[in-house]
Amino acid sequence: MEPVTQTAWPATDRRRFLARAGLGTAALAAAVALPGRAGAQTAGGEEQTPPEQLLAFAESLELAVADAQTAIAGQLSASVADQLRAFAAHHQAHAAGLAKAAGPPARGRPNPGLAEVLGDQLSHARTPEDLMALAIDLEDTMAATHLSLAGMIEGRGPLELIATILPVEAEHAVALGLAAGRTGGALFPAGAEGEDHSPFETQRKALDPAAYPTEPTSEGGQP
Amino acid sequence: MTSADALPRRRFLQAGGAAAAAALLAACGGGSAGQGDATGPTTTTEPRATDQDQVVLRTATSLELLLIQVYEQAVAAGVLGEDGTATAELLLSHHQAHARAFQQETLKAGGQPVEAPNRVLSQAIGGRLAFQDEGQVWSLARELEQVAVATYTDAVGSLQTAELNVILLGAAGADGRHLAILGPLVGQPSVAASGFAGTDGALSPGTGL
Repeated sequence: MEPVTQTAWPATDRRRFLARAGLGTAALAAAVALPGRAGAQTAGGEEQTPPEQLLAFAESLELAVADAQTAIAGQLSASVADQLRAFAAHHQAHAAGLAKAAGPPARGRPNPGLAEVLGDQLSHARTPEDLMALAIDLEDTMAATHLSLAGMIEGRGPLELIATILPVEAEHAVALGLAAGRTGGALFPAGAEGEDHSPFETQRKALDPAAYPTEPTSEGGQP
Repeated sequence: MTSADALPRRRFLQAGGAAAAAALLAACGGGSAGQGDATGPTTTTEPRATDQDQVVLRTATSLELLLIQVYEQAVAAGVLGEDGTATAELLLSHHQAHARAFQQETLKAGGQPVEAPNRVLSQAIGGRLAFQDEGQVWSLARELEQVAVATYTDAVGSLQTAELNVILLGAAGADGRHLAILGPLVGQPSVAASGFAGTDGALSPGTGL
């Protein structure tokens, strides 16, 4: 189950692996509104989204995932529920760190579009296996999104913060995968076509900031 | 915003793994002060930007080559069961991919790829490669995986070539997954209690080359 995946993208192809970040930046510049602040211009005239906006985007995702993992925990057995609640607390801590780094653009609220998608996914989950799959997918998605952001963000401080968050969210995915009985390559991100899995973290499941703005749209969530 | 006020990542230290990694490095005099050859003279000359990238990549390669050696030795020692062998071979294959990627990036940066395991860490682990049981394998592997995650986490943001941040972080994420697999095998949790990857125990660029 991959409820929030945006793109299929083989990470082992280095050029495509790196090109993804550039494409994301261009799309972001076109789609993310920056109230009260203009983005910087590159030498080529392309607008770059300030890192604060990207950090605020990440903050909003972390809060949405924290809420979702807490909701999932409420429907699973105690041992897994405890683990999920601990991970939800990590996501809250990540959000706090991102909000501090983002400054005023941080909204302190879950991403509205992702919250809507996850609410729908939760309502359709029928079994504990469905719920665990969703929880694992969320962690994989967050790790992928942070990797994608590392390709978009400039500035040592924001990159350092993301670097402390991504490995832990990858660890979350494995811990939940082990609890779900997964083994071997199933504990790692999907690989390129023909590969069982990827030996690197990938951006395959990364969420696009343009598709998940931090403010609700007129349609109530996603644009 | 400055990195000092917003991102005090050294506050976010992992307890168990980082301590083990720090101890591993302390055993051989390496660690955060280990710029250059730990047993030879050090230099005070600031490296050029591209030199810095090369040094980080070469150090990362040496770490990956050591992890390859550990997992190869573990499989060859015959102390792992069927599942343990499969796990070691899986993680081995990842480190082979990481090493190849780092070697290729070193070449692109104009440097000479490293072909030997990290010398300082090799000296530190010494006889621990003579595995007698599975627990010894996972314990050493976990310590070294922790060093790798800390080293890559520490390097992200310091590189002059932006795309290298993505490559290093891609490896850090994978090695974080390794840690989550290895933790329960040595009676430790899969995930750092703090919720943040620490940089304690990170290998300073240039150490052990």
